[in-house]
Amino acid sequence: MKRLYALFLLLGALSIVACEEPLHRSSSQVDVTRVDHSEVKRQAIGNCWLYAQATWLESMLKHTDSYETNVSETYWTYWDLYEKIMNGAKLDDAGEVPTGGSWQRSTYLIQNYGWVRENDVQALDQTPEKMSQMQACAVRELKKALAEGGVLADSHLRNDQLVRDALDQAFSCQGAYPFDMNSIRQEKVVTAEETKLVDPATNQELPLSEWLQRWREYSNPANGLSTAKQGKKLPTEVERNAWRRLEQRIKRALNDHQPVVLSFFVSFNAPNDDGVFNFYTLAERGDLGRTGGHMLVLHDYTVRNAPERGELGEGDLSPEDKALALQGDLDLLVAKNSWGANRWDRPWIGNGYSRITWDYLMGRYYDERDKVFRPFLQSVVLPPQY
Amino acid sequence: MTLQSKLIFAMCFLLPLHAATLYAQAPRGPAVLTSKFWIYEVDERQDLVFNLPWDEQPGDASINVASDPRVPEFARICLMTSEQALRERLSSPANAAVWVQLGQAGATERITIIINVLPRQNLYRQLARLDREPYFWHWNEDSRVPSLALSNYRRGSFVWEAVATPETCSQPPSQNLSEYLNYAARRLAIKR
Repeated sequence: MKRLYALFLLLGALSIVACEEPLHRSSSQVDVTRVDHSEVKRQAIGNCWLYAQATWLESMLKHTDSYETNVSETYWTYWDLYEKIMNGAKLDDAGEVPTGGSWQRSTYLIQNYGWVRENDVQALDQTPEKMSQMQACAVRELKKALAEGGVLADSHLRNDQLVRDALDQAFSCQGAYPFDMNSIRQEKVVTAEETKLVDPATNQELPLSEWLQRWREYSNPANGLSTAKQGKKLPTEVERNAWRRLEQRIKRALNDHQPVVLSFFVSFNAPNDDGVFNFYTLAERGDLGRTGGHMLVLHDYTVRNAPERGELGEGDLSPEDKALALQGDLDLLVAKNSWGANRWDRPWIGNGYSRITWDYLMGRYYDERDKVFRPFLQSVVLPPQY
Repeated sequence: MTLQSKLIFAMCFLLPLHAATLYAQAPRGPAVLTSKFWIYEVDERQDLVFNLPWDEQPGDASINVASDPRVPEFARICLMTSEQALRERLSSPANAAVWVQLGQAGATERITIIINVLPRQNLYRQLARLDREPYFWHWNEDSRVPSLALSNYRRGSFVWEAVATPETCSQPPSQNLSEYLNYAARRLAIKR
């Protein structure tokens, strides 16, 4: 097990996401008509990558059988924490339970633990306005268990039974919620092999396990270029072409209603009053502010300078306009987020769909810790043939 | 001089009217030019020794004297060459139009000419690795790492960065100015 863990830690280096939650506020309305998505949820802890994985699966399931399925992030969170703790995880430098992850890690969890519906784990705990109290409580309890003097503090004394007992206690919130992972695993799990999914573009039906192998994560195009010290500069011709190729791949996949997954670096000084992440607002505010990694699933996009059309907005367009959109300049991406919806405390989140300018994603921020520039876009997960 | 030390010979001035008035088109005012000399030395390992203004350990020799004797003659000549190159490129009809457009959008009228001064031409590649090769860009404020993402074109200064060696005086690539001005104009035009 330790060897496996090391493997996906290595793979996960491509894009490890320690998810952030927002702070600023304003208002937003976005049409929701393109990639099939389920209801917006609201993450309680730093596991946006599991929400993105669930969003991806829910979208594929919805396309396959037309039903909306609420896939459980709580179930994967339990097994993610189980493996981390069994492999010696401690509280991180900030004294928090390590809840971050990556696309590779979430696909590993599905391949090994399958998936369940959220109401098989907890009854009506999450709504777009309300975050999962079970997950929030579990992390609070595990923080105590992993802290000095806690039952899991000494990694040498950990064993399967001890860790499972501690997780069961934590996820039941010390008995406040009914929770029985043994019966969930025995009775509710749907395996990746027995889950059949239909491709939105080709209608080809394959097991989830196969699709997980075929969908691939691609790092940002600037990764192999020597731009680490060049934060003041415009992208070079080589870099622009590389971004242009990625832009085309994303647009073609979205045109075919594929739930493309995006990892990026969030500056909470970048969203404007309508929640659009952009450089204009970021520059006006003058610094990055609160930052962190985030993962979400794309839904739509808009373009400028499309031949014969100029701007093409959100909403499912005709095949002719989609073809023209491929020739225009990608302006912004629309994505289903996991920060909830209709929140009185963060009205700029709006209906839960975030918009991010392509300019922002192509740009570079200065990493103060490593003294290098990095692109805001970290990676994209694309279906085969794109 | 230690690795952390820095020498900046700054020569800040407003160009005389004939040079400073690059554009007369209303409502954009003339570009206001300022210049600086960043003079690099080499240590015993032949590495460049220079701390940039945003480095953690600031230098202690920032001198705002135009006629400072430590500025070599070839660097002064390179400044004049750079002013001329900037003036010519900024005066092209296309660039002049974007400059006016930027002014209407509230962009700064300041342009700083930075002359990176190298004692030998064969140190040029080292300088490039520090991202100091000739380039036109924008600088929000002296004390912070230059960042395209955080460039606020209403503040700070545009920068015309050149490199002077005893044998050469290198200017930014020919398309750099227009590409950068167009990018800044697009950023300012889309008020999100």
